[in-house]
Amino acid sequence: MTVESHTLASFPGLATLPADALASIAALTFEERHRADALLFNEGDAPGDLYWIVRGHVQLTQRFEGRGTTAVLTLSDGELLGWSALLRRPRVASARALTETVLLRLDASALLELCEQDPRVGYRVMAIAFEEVADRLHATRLQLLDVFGSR
Amino acid sequence: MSARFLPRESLPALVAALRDGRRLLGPRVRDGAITFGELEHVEDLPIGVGDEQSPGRYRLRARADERAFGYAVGPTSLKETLFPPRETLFRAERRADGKVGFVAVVPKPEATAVLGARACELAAIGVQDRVFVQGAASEPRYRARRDALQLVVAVQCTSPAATCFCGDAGTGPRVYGDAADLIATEIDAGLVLEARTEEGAQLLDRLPTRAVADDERVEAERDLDAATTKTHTGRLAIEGLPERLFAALDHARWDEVAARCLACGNCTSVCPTCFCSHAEEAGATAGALEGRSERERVWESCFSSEHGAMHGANPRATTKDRYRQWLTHKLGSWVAQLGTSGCVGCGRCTTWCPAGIDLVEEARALGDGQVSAVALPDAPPPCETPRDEDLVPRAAEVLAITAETSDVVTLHVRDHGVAAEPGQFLQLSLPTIGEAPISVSGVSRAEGFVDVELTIRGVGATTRALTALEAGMELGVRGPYGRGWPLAALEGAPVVIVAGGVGLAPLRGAIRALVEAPDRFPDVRLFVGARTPEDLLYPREMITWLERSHVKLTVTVDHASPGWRGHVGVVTRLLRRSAIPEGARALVCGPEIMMRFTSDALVAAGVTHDRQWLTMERHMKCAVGFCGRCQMGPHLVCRDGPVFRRDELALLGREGF
Repeated sequence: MTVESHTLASFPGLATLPADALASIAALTFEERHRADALLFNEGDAPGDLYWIVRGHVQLTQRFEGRGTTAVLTLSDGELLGWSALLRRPRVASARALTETVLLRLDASALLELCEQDPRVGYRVMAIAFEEVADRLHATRLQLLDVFGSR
Repeated sequence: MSARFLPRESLPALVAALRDGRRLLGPRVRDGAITFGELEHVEDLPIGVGDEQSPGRYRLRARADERAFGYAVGPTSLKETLFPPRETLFRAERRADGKVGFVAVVPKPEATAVLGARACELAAIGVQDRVFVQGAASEPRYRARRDALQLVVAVQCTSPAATCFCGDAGTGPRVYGDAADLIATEIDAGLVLEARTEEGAQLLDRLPTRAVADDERVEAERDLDAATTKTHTGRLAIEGLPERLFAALDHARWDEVAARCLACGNCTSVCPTCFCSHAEEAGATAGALEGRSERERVWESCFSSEHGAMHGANPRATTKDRYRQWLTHKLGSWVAQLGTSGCVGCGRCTTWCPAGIDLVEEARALGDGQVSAVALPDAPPPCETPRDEDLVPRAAEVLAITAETSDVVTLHVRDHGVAAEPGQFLQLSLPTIGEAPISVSGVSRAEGFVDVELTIRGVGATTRALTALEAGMELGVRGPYGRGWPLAALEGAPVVIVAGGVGLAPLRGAIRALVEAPDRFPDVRLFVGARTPEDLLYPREMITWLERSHVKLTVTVDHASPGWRGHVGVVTRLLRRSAIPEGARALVCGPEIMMRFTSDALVAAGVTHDRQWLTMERHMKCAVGFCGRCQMGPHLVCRDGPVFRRDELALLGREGF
């Protein structure tokens, strides 16, 4: 079952969209609940859907041959999960719910089609995804700089 | 008081009167320069010797007359007398059982008189007084030498050099006020003398003087007027110069001057006001544990790569950074720190610069621009009742040691000093090894003593030795020093605390205060970032914080270990996703880069700069504003910080400060 427009409007980046645009995104958005430890997607999976985390913690992990599976990032309330869906690329990390988690799942193929048809939606969705990716890039740099390490 | 005249042939009487039970310092020719030294006879004075100075050049020359004070200034000033280039602060001993002892070394200088001080030199003593005796702390060694300076006869300068600009600096060539006991102006026939103090008047009474003839008065005034005109070069406008220099931090001229500067430190050595110093353990005789050493203070220059370096890295990495630091400090932030310019216009830095860099020319070119967006704070007024700062540690006993992580321990120390406030720091030392500033991470007061917790990461020789201490051993402690967290300013408001790595340690005292007082601090949100789960400090204590309903705690690590189910990611991301309540105030501590990005994230979350406090790390060597090592633009971090409100830190994130 798809969600109501007002559910989407609670996400900051979407609140400014006109009602009809929100409604068309809502029409391709589904709410999902996952128990703790549920695997949401796996590194290397074929291109999937885009998620928004309503509530809960999701851990992204990467396989590191010889070192096991390494957690690289934790995502939480209000954050975008699975941005690679917008590029129609295979998953670059695995996602697992750490807690009971409520997600909004956006049908990525349908969303991309909507983005093409309605530039208001297209611009907004890409702007949100771009901001998320930019933040993660910046945060990854700080992780790489090892700012808490001793010299 | 009316002026009197001392004929040239009676100069020996002046020398004798000044030497009456005192050491007399005055100008002498030595090694091809006129320098301050001990005078025994009139013949020791540079009679008939003048000087020629220009950028990078100093030469003595024969004068056509017999004047004894017919030169400008030499490379030395009275700085060497009051603040010697090397001196012992205390003797330290450590016994085989780990007990330590410290004995102050304070000189008992002999009574001293000075003949021939210039107006610029007297002004320079006034500037150094602001550093050593008029701050919150007073340096007893400097004070002893200062007090021993019983009689000063100034000779007003009538032979300024081409490099002189005391007129522009407002310090000379005439001597104003009671900076000297007796003021002399030399003319061919002798000295026109005027007493400015009671001691000066008594001295004058003992000299074979006579009334000043009109033509003698006219000659003296004419020469002084000429010197006044010459030293008002008009090349340097002092008014507003600090703001103009700080407006020019990105000026291309810094690169040009840095290309000429050899970073040799000559300018800071000859400067009569430069006060920066280093301190080191000298004469160490060390066994496995026991040993003796003396802590020596040595002049240091902001041009040295050592000065200000922390863990081997200098925040002012390049010659450009260091030249900019020197000039913006001397002519700019000195005013913000000490209420006076650091420049008295003597021109020594220009004369003795081997590259001939002209301070006035550089300051004029650089300070030509617009007034700054960098707000320079007002200096604290001179302290009426400075505490006596002897720089000597007291012994304190290690009660217990807690291993926190692989390279971090917490020392539990019983101290008999004043209890530190959260955010303040202590100077911890070990004989033969060294001293390090360490933030207090917990304090409990008791009758007659204070138990202090000090969380230390072993990164250098001193901190590694401190982390290797065992229960029952002792260490040296000085302090507490600095400004701590503004707990009163947080009352009633939601408080956000962001800690990164060992940055949690300086915050722990504040967190404990907040955790224990929900009525005053009803909403406390802690965000803690660490490198790995194993690097997290105080995990057991964190759990007790979480038990309090007014406290929320989120922990994140940059690199997860297998099995870690907590957050992974940099600590700034936690702020982004958490709704920060309206009116929140924030305390932040961690590496500077982490604090910068945290500060930005807080602003994005609605916490403006005037509601954020950060604790800065600079190399705090003396901890009381004497050594100049912990400067950050207008601030002495040891004195004005280490906790700053974010809007006080205009230079945060700017390279080279």
